[in-house]
Amino acid sequence: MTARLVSDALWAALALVGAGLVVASHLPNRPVAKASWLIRRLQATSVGYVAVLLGWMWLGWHFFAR
Amino acid sequence: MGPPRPGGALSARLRGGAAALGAAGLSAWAALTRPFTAPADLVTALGLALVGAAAVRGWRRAPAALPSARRWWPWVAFGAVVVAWELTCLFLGPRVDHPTVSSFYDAATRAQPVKGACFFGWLWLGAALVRR
Repeated sequence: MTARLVSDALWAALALVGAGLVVASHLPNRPVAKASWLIRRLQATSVGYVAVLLGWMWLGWHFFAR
Repeated sequence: MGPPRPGGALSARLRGGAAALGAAGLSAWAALTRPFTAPADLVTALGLALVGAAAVRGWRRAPAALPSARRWWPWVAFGAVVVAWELTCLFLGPRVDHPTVSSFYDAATRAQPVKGACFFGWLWLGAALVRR
């Protein structure tokens, strides 16, 4: 088994887990909090609000400018 | 606070529509750019400036009340695993054997419509984040 196959399989597994979390967070009994709830919780303070926005800015700079 | 202005909902819809059109235009431009070039820097800077301005405008608004806590730790654990694996791939070499998120992104965005859609999604996320 090549290293690339193992890496791809791990990334695919992580993507499935992420999708599973999204689905679980939208179920009627909500076993998992929605990601938006967690982000809003982080943004509840001024420091958290700025930190989340800086993270968003870094994402844009990293993927679109560089 | 006085009574709601007539046409307030309409002007909000018009503003939202104009913002979406503007974002679509910027995204179409971004789709044509290449990283490490001045146009890519400029279109990204415009996106940053627009969302940054909205963040400053909404700064004094108190955050909306949150519903009671649910299980959040699965997200934190998932994020930690993703970051750990990303860092592992980053420091293992070569990239062809240990792709990172950027590797998948680069492969996907060779198609300009995909890049434009990603840029639009980024702007949409920014607009959602500044709404307190």
